[in-house]
This record gives sequence, C-alpha cells and structure tokens, in this order.
Amino acid sequence: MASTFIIPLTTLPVGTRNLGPAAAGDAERSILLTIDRTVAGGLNSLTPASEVQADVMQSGDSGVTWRLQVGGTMPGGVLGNSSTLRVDLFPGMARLLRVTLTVSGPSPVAVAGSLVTT
Amino acid sequence: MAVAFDAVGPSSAGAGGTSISSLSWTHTNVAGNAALTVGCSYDNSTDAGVTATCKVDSVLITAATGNVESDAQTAGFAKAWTALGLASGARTVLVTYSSAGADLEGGSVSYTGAGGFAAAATASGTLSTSASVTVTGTAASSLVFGFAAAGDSINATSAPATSRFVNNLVGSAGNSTGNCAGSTSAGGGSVTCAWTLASSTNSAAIAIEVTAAAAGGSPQAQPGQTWLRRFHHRQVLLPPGPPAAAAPGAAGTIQPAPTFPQPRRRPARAVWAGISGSTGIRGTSQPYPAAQFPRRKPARAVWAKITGGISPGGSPQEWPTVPIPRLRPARAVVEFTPVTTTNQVPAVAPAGTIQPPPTLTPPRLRPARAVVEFTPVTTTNLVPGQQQPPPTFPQPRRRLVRAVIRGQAGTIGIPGKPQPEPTFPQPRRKPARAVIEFTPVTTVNQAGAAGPAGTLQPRPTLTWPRKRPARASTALLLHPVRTVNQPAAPLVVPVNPLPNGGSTEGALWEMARTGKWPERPPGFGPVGPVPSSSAVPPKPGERGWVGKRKRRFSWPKQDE
Repeated sequence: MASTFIIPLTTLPVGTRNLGPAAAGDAERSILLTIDRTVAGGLNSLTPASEVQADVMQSGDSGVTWRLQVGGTMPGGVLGNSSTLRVDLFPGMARLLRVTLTVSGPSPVAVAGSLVTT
Repeated sequence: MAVAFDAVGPSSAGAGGTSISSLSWTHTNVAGNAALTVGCSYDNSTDAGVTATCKVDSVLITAATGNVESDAQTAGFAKAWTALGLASGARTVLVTYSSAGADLEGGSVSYTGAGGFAAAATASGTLSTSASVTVTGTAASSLVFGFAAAGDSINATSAPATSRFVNNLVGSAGNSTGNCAGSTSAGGGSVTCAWTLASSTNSAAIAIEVTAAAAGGSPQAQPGQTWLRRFHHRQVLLPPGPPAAAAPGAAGTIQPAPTFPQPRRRPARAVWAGISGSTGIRGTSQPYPAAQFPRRKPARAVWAKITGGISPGGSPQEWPTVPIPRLRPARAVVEFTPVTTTNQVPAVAPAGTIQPPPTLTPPRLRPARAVVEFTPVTTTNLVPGQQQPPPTFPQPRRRLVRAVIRGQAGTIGIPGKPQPEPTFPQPRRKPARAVIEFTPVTTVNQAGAAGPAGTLQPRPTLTWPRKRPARASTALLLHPVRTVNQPAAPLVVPVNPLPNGGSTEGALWEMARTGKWPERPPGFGPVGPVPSSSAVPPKPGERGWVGKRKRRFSWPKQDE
C-alpha cells in the first residue's frame, strides 16, 4: 500500500531544513522523492548556481540515528518538470523517513513535492 | 584466498534519480578491509565534456574506466570506480557529475579477500536486445564485477553471472542509458557479463576483475579512512631481508622545553567536504549536534576487595535503578514566623452624588494677579512758603564723624545701650544743590520803529568763491599772472612805456601814484602816457595805504 507525504510549497532559505519524519509501513519497500521544479521561484527559474541537495534518510530506532538511503544534487536551470530520487528502503520495522533539503547558492529556493513509499 | 561477495549498496534495486547532478547512497559492507566497486550510469541528450568523480566517505576513489559511451555516441555513458581497504560499516558513496543529467543510476558491490583489481574491459552496444562485455585472463580466485547501462529496462543477468542490483529508473524513456544493473561472476579465464534488455536499444557495459589477495592476505588498512594503493598487476610479497643494523643514536641535543605555556589543542572536528567535483577537502565545518548528549555519569570508586588486606569485604554498590535527580544548586533559606494580617473593614462610602464632569472644556487658568485695594485720599498741597535763605556766612565743612570713647578708668567697654536699629528704611541722602535767588525782571519791548527804507538785496544766485586767506606779502599779491591765449594771431605785446619796463615795480609805481589798483594785470602795465616825472616814487622801505580799502603795503627795502 503506497503512502504519499506531501511537501507543501515553501521557500527555503540558504541552509538546511529537515522535513518529516514520516512513518513508513512495514510492507513498503521503496521510496520516491519528487521535487517540483516548475513552481514560482523553483529550480527551473534559477541559475545553476543555486542547488538543492536532497537526502532521504531512514531511521530504524525511532529517530535516534539516521542513515542515508539516497541523495542527489538538484541544480537550478531548466531540467525538466521535476527532480526525483528513487531507492529501496532498508528492511526493518517501525521505520521513519525524513527528507533533508540543503539550499546553497545566492538566493532562496521554492520547493514543493512529495515523498511516496510503495 | 578467493574473492567473495560481501554486500551490495544501497540495495538490490540500486539508486537513481532524475534531473540531478549527483547521486549518493549508503553502502554497508559487512567485512572489514573490503574492496569496493561502484558503477554509475549517466543519461542525457548529450554528455560531451561531462566528467564524473566518486567519493566514499568524502574521499575520492580510483576510476576504473573512463566514460564508456552507449552506442559510442554522446547520449549517455557508464563509468566504474574501485577502492580497497574499507572498514566495515556504513559508507556514503557519492558520484558527482560536472553537469546535471536527465537521470542517474548506480550501485556498489563490496568484496572480501580482495587484493586488487585488474584492468577493466568495456563495450558499447548498438540497438541490441542484450548488453555484454568480456574480460579475459581472469584468475579462478578472482571475482568479476559487471556493470551495464542501457536505454531500456534490463530484464535479467545472463547466467552464470549473479545479479547484484538492477535499477530500471526510466525504462524505455532513456536516451542511450537510463537503466543500470550490476553483477558478479566467478573468475577463471574469459568471463562474459551479459544482460538481456527489454527492447533493442543502446547500451554500455563494464567488467572488472577483482583479484584475490596474495598469500598472507593483503596488508591491513589502518583504522580510519586509509585507502591502499591500487595495482593493476598481482602483488608479490618480497622475501624478508636481512635484519637491519641497529640504528645509531640520534645526534644532536634535545630540544629545550618551551618557556611559555603552550595553548591547549582544540579537539578536531570533522569537515564536510564539498560534493561538487573537488579533489581536496573543502566546505564548511560540521555543525554542532542539535541533540543534547547525555551527561556522563560520574565515576564511582570501586572497592577492589583485596584478599587478606585490611579492607572490608563486600561487593561494589549496585547502580541505582531509578534516575538520580541532578543536584540542585544550594539556595539560601530564610526562616521567619508567618504573620497573619487582617484587612480592616472597608469604610462607609460617603453620601451624596458625585459631581458630574464638566461638559465644557474649562478655561485654562490664568496666572494670578495681585489686586491692591485702597481708599482714594485727597491731598492738599501746603501753602508755598519761602525757601530758607542761604547762610550769610560760610559754612564750615563738616568734619568726619569720629567715635569717641570715653573710657572710665578701670573699666572695659562702653557703658550704655547701643542705638536701636531704625524701623523704617532710611532714604538715600540727595546731594546738596546750590540755590540761586534772583529777582525776576520784566522786560518790555519798545514801540516798533520804522524799518529802513529800501528793499532787501536779493540773495546771490551763484556760489561765491571761497575767499582765499589774505596774505600779507605784497610780492605774493603781485606775482600771479593771468594769461589768455589768443586763437590765431600772434601775441602782440605792446611795449610798456614804463620806465621800469612794465615790470612789477612799474605796477607798484602806478598804484602808489594813483592810489588805485591797476586796471590791467600786473606785468602788462597801463597803456597810456608815461607818468610825469613829477610823480614821487616811493622810497624803499616806505609804507602806505593803497586802494579804497586802504590796503596796507610796504615797499620792500633795498636789501630785502
């Protein structure tokens, strides 16, 4: 059963912001993070000097420790409608997911998207 | 010792993303001193000039291949990296490209018993339903890592290879890649790594022989991020050499101790290296942890329970089962006797009504002014009297007051009472004024007499020249000469018939004779008959009066 966690439209200043955590079902195996690049002030409206480093983290101990599942650098500029990251979840029970977005560059970046677990 | 599979990262599904320039995942190798191979696929409409690097825990690792283009075009390529000596545990694998791709896919495989890597074999496929690459001359103890990137989904790994990961991220939407797979195959001679594809598409494939460690095992890596050098040929341990001679003692002197206190070294902090292609460590310092670390428990003394000693027996005190609250800082306590206070009964409210507030704005208070009330008093001037006549004799000048003390013999001080202070202000004494008495005299104008006949001479209409001060010297009176230039005719100077040649003396002569001022300017002399010789010329030094106003002149003496 798929679960979708919406990342509401928000403008992130330069720096790091954590989104979540969200609980992943025990039967879910993979995650897909999607960042909409077409929103106003989003990545498609910026230059490659602006970047968003997106990391999907997973915790198996109720958030005490986190491990990277997948990460990617999403640069500014017109590069399609969305940037995505896909990876399998580490097996376990009572898993938590968190998205860490790190904005670098000359200006804030508007992001919106979703985290889907399947 | 043969090479064996250890772990795959991040999982059998690999990792992937779209519209990104870097891809990272966690690889957890079980064994220590493990070898690692990383494969990653770059898919884009063009990849000309794109470079890629790979880091493990922020340390660059060795590229096993260059960019292996799919279909030998520039629409996507595959690339592989290798590393040795990984400590066990979770490792972050980061693959970074110089330019963002439409999609990236990758995965990693770790090995045990590996001692190095042989040269990699690469292949590019064009419009085929399979992707394959062959590596030759492999050892039986080796393991071959195969990696493929294709423009359509990768269905399976052909036997006898073992599939380690498959990531069909974009399926048939890839340019020339967009899907990847990793596998391992046992070594021994020529080894082919092959995959079947969902459709006829382009592909790129890489095969790397992971060679076994030499007998005795490969040198152990030191704790921490220490990577061993990668060799492309088998490594043979050299036989042990003769024992080294004892090194002579170091010459020189011992460095003296510092004479000033050395600052304490700060604890090292991990530095996050930048992700974008960098060969060095850069970036910003790792931030301080947001979570609060638990407080370290205080050390407890444990009684060693020495047998036969003087110490008493027993066992160490058990740890408390409930959390011990942290000691609060001591606070001063003030003891006092509580006092009960009782409020008084409220007083009865006064009767009446409250005056309503004014509806008009009250005027601003004016400053108070003093009012003096008095009764008018009519005063009558006294009858004027006569002023006191002045004294008829000179008043002596008043002497200065001098205090006189008439002391009595044998006593000190002045007897009597001092004069009291005046009860009213003393007027200031005015200075004395002299008074002159005189008898007023009445004057009467005389009857008006007839005025002189005639009319008054009108005032002059011209400005009279200022009269020059008279000068007594006759010479000065006679010397000024007035000349008038005639317009054209030559000046005719009549010959002065005067005996003296028309000189000043002649004019004086004329004046003395006639008692008049000469009608002509002096010097020209009168024109007319020569005065008779009867005229008596003045003598030198004689004085007389000339003219109507009887101007006095003197004839200069002969010797003047």
